Amino acid sequence: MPTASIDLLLASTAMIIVVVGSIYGVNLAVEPYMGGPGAHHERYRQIERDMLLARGEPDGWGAGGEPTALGFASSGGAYELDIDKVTRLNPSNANALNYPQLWSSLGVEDVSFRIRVDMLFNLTLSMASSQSQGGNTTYTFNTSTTRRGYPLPTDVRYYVAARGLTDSRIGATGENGSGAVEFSLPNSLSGTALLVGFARVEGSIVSCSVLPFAHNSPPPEPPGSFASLSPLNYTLNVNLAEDASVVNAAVFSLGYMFNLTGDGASYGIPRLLDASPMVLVVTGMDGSSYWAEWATYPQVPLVMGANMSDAYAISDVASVSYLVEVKGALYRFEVRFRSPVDDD
Amino acid sequence: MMIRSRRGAVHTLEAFLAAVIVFTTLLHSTSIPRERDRAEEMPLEAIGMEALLRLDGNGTLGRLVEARSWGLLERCLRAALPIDVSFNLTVLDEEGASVNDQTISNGGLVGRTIASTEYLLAVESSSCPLYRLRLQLGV
Repeated sequence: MPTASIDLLLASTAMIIVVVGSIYGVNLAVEPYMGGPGAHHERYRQIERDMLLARGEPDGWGAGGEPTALGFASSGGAYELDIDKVTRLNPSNANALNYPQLWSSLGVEDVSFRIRVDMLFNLTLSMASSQSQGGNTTYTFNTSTTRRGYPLPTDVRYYVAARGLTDSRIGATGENGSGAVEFSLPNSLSGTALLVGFARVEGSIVSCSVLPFAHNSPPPEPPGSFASLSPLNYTLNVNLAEDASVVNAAVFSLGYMFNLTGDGASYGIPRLLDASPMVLVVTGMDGSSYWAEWATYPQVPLVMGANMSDAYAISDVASVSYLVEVKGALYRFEVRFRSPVDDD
Repeated sequence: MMIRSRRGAVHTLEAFLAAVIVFTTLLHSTSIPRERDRAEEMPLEAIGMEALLRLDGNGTLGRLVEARSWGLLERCLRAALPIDVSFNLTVLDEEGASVNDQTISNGGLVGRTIASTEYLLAVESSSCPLYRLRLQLGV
């Protein structure tokens, strides 16, 4: 056989392999993006809908115990979720459910999932300046309200908490989503202080954020260094670090601010009627330094569930999200589902 | 003959190089996380209806329409709808006349897919006025 024929045969074979491989590979890579929902997608939607519309079993599993059937709904209307069932998804809560418990209570063996609950927009607080004059220090804070980078004008309520002192201001963010607020604190109240902010577009569209800052003291320690706060069933459970003690506990919402009464380990949380998340603040001392810890109730934002960052897994990941209501405020409840790719 | 033979060998080499490149790309493409976004697959009408239902759930929608607060209504929709969805809302009264005297939109309808959904709004008040909300969506 002439050399040219062998060359031609080899080249043709290689090209056939390339073409067939390309067809297979392109099909594999772009199939999820092609028109029409995948076979699993409608099923994923049904699973999430069931999670959000069912109350689970036992009905009151949010207050304690382990669910035998997963469902986050409250006794209210459709897509109204129970504040405690959502809070128990947050891994930083002492009563949180772990993923195996959630997965087994869902009862769908071939689907793994990851739940994310977020407020509808972001409120970002930052310190712009501080100025000490006389016996007070005046702090200026900048506020930014955005939705994935797009500015959102809002009305804002600010609170500051330092040791036993609480104070509030009303403000707003403009068309560019920016605003500012000023607070003066007596220098005698040295220690970690908290700026708590609630921003509202209208009605149930609310977001909140907390900024710890040092007031005549070393920089704040990371959250959870002195106490871990776990709200559940309208009770705030405080797990103190060794040598730490509580000075004050308070609850803040868009419209209300109250000091909490309790024994240092647990505090009753009032059932505030406004459509707003609550921020629970505990201040205390550790030796000679003063600290401040906080938790939101419901404890969002949160992310929990299966790890889906393993890039080499050949599987079909789909995200499904719904707008849900918890205690009158709207949140986005997103679930990422994954199940093994069908071979057929 | 020698030149033709060399040309054939070069073609073979080219083909194998092409095969290596294609297979390397394919191997890499399997590692790209493939995630489907709901906004791409869920019907736009359903997304719009969900947002209107949630806003109406606690009376926000009716309150804003009655107060003719079109700017606030636009902000609420901007917060409730997915960020990549464009919208244009028209509020019609019982006679079908447009009530909103300013555009309620996040910059006009943009996108390859356009859909429209209608929502009947009953406002809680002594006269219980009815409005028809026509929400056009694009993605």
